[in-house]
Amino acid sequence: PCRAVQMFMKMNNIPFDYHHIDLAKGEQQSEAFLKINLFGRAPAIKDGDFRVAESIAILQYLAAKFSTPDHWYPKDITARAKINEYLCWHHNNTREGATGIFFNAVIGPKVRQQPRDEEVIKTAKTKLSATLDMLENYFLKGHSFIASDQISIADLLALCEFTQIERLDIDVGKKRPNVKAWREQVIAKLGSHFDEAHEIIIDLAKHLNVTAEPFE
Amino acid sequence: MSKIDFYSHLASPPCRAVQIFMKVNGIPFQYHHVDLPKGEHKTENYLRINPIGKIPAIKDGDFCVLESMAIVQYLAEKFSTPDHWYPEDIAVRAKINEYLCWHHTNTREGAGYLFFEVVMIPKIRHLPRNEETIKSEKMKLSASLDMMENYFLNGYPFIGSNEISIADLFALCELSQIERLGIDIGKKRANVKAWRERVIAKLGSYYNEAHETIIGFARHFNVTTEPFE
Repeated sequence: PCRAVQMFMKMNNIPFDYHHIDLAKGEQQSEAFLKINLFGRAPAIKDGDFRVAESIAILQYLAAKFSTPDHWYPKDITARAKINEYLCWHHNNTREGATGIFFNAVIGPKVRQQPRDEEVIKTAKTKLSATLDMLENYFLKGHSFIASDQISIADLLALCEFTQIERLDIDVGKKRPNVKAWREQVIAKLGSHFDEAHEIIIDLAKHLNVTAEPFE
Repeated sequence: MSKIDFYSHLASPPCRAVQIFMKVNGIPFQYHHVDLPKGEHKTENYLRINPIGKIPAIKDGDFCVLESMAIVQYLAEKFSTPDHWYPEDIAVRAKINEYLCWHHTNTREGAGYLFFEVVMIPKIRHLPRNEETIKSEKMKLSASLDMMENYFLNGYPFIGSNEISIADLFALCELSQIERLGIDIGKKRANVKAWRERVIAKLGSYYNEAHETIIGFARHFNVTTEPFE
């Protein structure tokens, strides 16, 4: 979610001051950060004194405040409805599957020194597979981007979840041509902002010796 | 204006939120009952309306919308409902959007999944209760209620706002599910208690009407009190 917000701001030249939150040290639960975001999670923004948490709420706020090009979050009610469908569905589908795998296959064993819970990983993989099928057959059906012919905030959020598990060599487009083409299109649109935003996760994966995770 | 086709089963919290929203705003709709126990949500006919195979869904002419929040956001805009339901002001809207995002993995998970584990699993699927999962969901519910008490309702009569909005509908309809288990969400949380009463008062008879199904359901299955602190 943090990468999605950063890329959005960079693409739209929204000026921001970056504050690194040291998740490994639990900084997101510190008193200072909880004053900014009581949920104790990243990302969060402060616009003057006004705080916003939750990446989707942040993106919606910034799109409105900075009058970003319409395609990022279209005003047309039918176009917006289709993107909103994805934004709602994302939490318990894309995010649940992808983060479920990454957390239990990487963070659990390599950072928290906990044994892998194969049941949980299997469930997350099933969820990921169903998610990718829905993207392939519904959200990207007849569209180059999620429910749209132009890139929107939905694409940023979705792609950034998948790039996380790409560190485990999971190829989301392997058996799904719509997903494959979509991924390439979104990355092409984001250009250098994409690479820049992904430096940290690439380094982290290297540092932790993350290896390939089987996925069909 | 032609009616909205509304596909629903009122045992479902998100369906109740959508129905109440339409009723309170006088949005004309045709109710289509989706027989979940018979698997109607997985039939070819229904999947044509909602390929994700879940309820609620709406059809506005030929235009289908799924996901309850997307539906309500669409209807609010289309029918120009009073601003407070989903305010144009970007700061107030941001606070409501925070709740709408957070809801999926907090209120819905704590309340909705708890109901599922305590009622559906033993009484409909005839499987033993999974006490670990139930305990975990109760913790999630507790944490969700604390966040409502200390953040969303802190200094506000309604979620993140001085007036009722769609956030309040989603939250209350999810929490009303577990009230069937005798769980009093406002017992130790004064803000939540007052908020609940306020929202119900605003919704009047539409609230009671939307809840008849789940009340009947709970009675039919002899749902008993579930301990919760």
